[in-house]
Amino acid sequence: MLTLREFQERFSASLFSHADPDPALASLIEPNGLSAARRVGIYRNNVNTSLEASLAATYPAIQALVGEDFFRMLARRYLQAHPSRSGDLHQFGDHFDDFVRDDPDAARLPWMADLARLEWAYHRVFHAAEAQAVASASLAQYDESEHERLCLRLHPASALIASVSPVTAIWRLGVHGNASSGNVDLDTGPEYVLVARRNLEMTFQSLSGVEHAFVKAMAADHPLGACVAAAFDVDESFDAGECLARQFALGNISGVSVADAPGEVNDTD
Amino acid sequence: MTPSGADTTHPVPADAGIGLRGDHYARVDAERPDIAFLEVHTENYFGHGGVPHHYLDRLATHYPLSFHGVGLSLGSTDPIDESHLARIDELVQHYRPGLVSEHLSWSSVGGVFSNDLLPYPLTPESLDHFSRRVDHVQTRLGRPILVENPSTYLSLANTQIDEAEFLNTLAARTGCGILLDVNNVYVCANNHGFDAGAYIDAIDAPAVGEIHLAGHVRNRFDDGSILIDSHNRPVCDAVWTLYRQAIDRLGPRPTLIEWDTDLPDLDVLVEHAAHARSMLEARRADAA
Repeated sequence: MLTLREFQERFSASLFSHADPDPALASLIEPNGLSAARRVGIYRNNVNTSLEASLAATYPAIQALVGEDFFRMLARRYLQAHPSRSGDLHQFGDHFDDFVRDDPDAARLPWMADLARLEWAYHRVFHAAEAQAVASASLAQYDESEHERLCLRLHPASALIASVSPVTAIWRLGVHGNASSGNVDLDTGPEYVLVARRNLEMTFQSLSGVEHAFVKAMAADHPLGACVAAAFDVDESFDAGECLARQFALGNISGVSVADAPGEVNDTD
Repeated sequence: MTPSGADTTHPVPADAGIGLRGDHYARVDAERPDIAFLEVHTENYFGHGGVPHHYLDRLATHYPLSFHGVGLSLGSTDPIDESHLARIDELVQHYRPGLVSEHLSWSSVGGVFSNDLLPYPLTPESLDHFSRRVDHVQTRLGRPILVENPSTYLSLANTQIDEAEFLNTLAARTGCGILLDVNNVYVCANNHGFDAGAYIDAIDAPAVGEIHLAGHVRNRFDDGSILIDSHNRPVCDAVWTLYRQAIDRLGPRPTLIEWDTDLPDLDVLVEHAAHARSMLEARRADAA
């Protein structure tokens, strides 16, 4: 007789391998009309259907653009390569961008990995913690000599994406557009996007390359001086004051503090 | 999530509630329909902010809440996922739900999750295991939970304890309650050939803290057919009849209309809840 552990291991193996239950497991399942293989198959179908639905809920634009049949095939392959590792279904799908980049069929649509990263970022930001944005006036309490050492906290409901494809246009086509007849000029990329949730509303902020460098340094908790330096590395004509004003205006900054350990925060690499 | 001011639980009354799903947030918030409580899937609030917590924070001031977990994998032989349990604890501390529940099932082994409610063998050893797990969860949460009878699509030859007796003993040992899903009793009775009424009669009445009602579908194969707990349809007449038998015996209990696949219009859920409420009122009138 199988132990509880052995029963669970064999049942799980049969669910995910698509193999009929092994003889020890099959002999545990009362036939009572339907065969043991049929009965495990009912569970397998429930599992596949719900995990596929979960993946489709996280990646609606990809599903709309590639169609349900192709998406289902990808979902089944993904489940084999990256099974669910959490009782929280929101975690399922976290490797989908790498997966579609490497899958031989999906890789023929090179924008798909970019879109997967955008949709995963959207999913994460949708559920991220809430925070109050602060106004640019919060800088006034600091002496100008301290500005270099200020740490600006990027709003927690934010995720930065650097994409080769024009990914937000592709997303809009999938989610809002007529996916079968609409068009996106794939040569209009690359694109830098901050996926943001402000006052419960999901937005895509389009960033220039230099803004991207600035926000990326901010997201890495670098002090303002290092954020500005990172932007200058991209473009020497960078206007720090204008960029900063825009970040405050967009509600992207949820806190300002002085880095109290200069030795650490000056380490900008 | 905003900090919770309340430090007491809001009890769920012996009246009818509905499941709260994202598609209904705005209307439930705007219209505040006359229902006795809202039940949510605990894991749908594992994120830390955004639309789900915005609405649940608002609705928690108006409705008692029930937190129904689907991901703790209570019957698994893997260690309990302490981070999952810690997140449930945070949510329970914040929202102070009147009821917290999980399932008599398992959904993971070797770290791989099916995210489904898989059939759990009913033996003296498995009862010991499940009792230890429920003890652990209740100690961590500092409160009792309810354990629900699932729908099953196979029966195991090593079964040594009837499910009703298994749940009764689990409740007696751990102090947990029973979430009696009347549709699941009906589905299992049909699938495994036992008498649904006898199951209801065997359940330890004082242990039952909540009742679930849902719809099911019949899947047909060339070698037979089986009922699937699909949560995508109205509660059928036979399940309403079984529900009446259950409340006749148990007395009125918090009763949830569980319809979360092919989600209908909110009005349909509220009508279902009103029907359950009228049966609960009739039961009270009979007793008076």
